[in-house]
Amino acid sequence: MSHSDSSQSESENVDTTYVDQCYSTDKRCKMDNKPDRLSALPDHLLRHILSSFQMKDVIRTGVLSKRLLSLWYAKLGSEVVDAICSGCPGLESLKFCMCFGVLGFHINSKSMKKLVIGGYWYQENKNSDDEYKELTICARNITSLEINGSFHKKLLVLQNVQALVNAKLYSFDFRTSQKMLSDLLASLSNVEKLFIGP
Amino acid sequence: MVKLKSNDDKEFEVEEAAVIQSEMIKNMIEDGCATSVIPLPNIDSKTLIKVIEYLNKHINMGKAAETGEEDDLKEFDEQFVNMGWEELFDVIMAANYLNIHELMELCCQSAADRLKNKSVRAVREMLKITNDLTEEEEQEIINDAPWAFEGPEIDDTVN
Repeated sequence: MSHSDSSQSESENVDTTYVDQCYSTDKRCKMDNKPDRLSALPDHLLRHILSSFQMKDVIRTGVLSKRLLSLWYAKLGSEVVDAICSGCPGLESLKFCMCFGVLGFHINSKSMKKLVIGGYWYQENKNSDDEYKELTICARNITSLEINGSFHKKLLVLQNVQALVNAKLYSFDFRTSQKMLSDLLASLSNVEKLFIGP
Repeated sequence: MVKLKSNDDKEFEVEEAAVIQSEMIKNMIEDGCATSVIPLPNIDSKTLIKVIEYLNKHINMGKAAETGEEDDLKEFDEQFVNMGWEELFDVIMAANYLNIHELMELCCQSAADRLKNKSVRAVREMLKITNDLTEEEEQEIINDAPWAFEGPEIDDTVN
């Protein structure tokens, strides 16, 4: 016990001497290339900080800069989609058209049988990281799924779609990734009726 | 003891019990990859010192809950996050990299608390954000939800 105490205080002493040494170099390099304090933070950490905000605070952050505006859209988008997916237990059929800022569709409702995803809105954002390149569709009770339109750089991933019987993929832009198509088809292995068309 | 090395080549010894609060290092130790010094190329020594201070204090968290020292720890946490923005963001990024969940939550909450109810002007000044929206774009957002920009709780002070 006494041994561990003494070693701890020893290391603390060492630590404090370091503090003075590092401040000067650190400050200099930061003043050179970090005018905007948020620019050091990647999107997912910024999103984490904003996650505890009330809507009123979130909306005000949208006026700060383009980067924050796009994060703000993403928060609104996923909140609305989550609210629909979890808050309408009686819904049987649902169609999303040109969604934007959505990380995925997670549908747990037992009554939901049919899901249509019609494309994804494209927004160019240089600062955006690639963390959410994937768009997951997780819908364990869906029996019918339609996907059409363009998804730009998004990679569609199907999860828990074992209940699917009918699947329809049309006007579907999958040129970005052949692997995405083969992965999609692999997840559709239980489907009885599959339509792929122009 | 586990040795950690910051990106400015300073080495720190930390007790294993403290350092395994980092999921990343815990996994490294379990996989037998922590036999010599663990280099942390994303973390400078100033930030690492703060992180180690936190880890050492929180090492006895389980014990603290039993002996009623919880208040002590709360007080430590409050003091701990009392730092400048740049330092806070550095610690957030280090906590994210090392995967120290509690530290990450503590610092993100502190950042959020500092920004809550602040006016647009105050946040811009605090974080030195360059406004790259045009006046029209800005006005459009304000017109869409004017209620979000007014109210007695909105605080225009910078601190």
